[in-house]
Amino acid sequence: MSHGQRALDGRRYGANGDSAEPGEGGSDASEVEVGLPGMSLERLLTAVPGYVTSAEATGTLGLPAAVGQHCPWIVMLPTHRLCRRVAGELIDAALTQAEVGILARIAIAPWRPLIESIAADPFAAERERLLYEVYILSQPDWGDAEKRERIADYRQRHAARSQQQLQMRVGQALESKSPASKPSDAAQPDADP
Amino acid sequence: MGHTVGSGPSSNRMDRCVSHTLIVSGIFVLGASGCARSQRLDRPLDWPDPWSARRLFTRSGSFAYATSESAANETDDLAARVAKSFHDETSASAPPGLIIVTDAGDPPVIADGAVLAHLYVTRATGARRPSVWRQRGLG
Repeated sequence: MSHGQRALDGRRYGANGDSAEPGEGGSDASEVEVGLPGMSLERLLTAVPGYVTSAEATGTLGLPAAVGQHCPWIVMLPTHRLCRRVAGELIDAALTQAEVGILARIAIAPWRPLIESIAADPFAAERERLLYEVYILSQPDWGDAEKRERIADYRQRHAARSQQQLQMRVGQALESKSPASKPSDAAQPDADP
Repeated sequence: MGHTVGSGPSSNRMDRCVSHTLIVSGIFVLGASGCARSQRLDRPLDWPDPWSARRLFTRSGSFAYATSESAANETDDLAARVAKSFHDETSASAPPGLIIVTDAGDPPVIADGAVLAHLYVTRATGARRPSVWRQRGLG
């Protein structure tokens, strides 16, 4: 049975693919806190896009070697819905840490979808950055120096564009007089982009 | 009998004929390119399916392990948009790859949170063997 098939059993596996004891890992003492109550690093990372090497695909993820041989790149991407959900959990954690009272929470509740939507943008934008970079890294005719240069150039442009979009969305939010005037996609929690 | 191009009823018929031919050709070309765009990659036979509670989806520009078709479509559309922008800016083509998709409510790709954190954090920060990973034999 392959590592992937064994993973379907819902058991947990170590970095080298060895099986660990049932119930080990997950939400036990292994969780690394990120400084916000109720938010673990592991949970936060589910919404962070990540590149996977062939060795990691086989060893850590338990995929067969054929996958790595077939694909020049492998990435883990969250959907926009997940970005939004984790952004909401981050906001909840921040409100809890700041000891924001129930009345204040009620007061900001109408704005919540808009705030979540804005907070989800950086997670979602990272997906584009990662894909663009794996496309660069997958070019067989480009040397390492050229790839580095192209990635650095793209990161600058991407960061500037993301910053501009964030400022624009925050500006729109501040200009709007009521949550009813928020962008339409913010009205529906977990809405797709 | 001479034929004057650009005047008379026969010329109008010819213009219409040419126009119709161009329109039909245009529709054919657009249709063909649309078909090419939506043509899916061949399904690899030696990949596990399902895997990690996800099914294997083949799309035009990527493979995806996802829990739903909509999740697979979302990330494939995103990959196609980025691939187009990449091509426009560099003239190079983006090769198809594998996207492992996690949607809201999905189980994590890596069930052991410490392993997941190790995968990301060591790469991002170069961190070496924090105690939690040392306990797991990682790092």
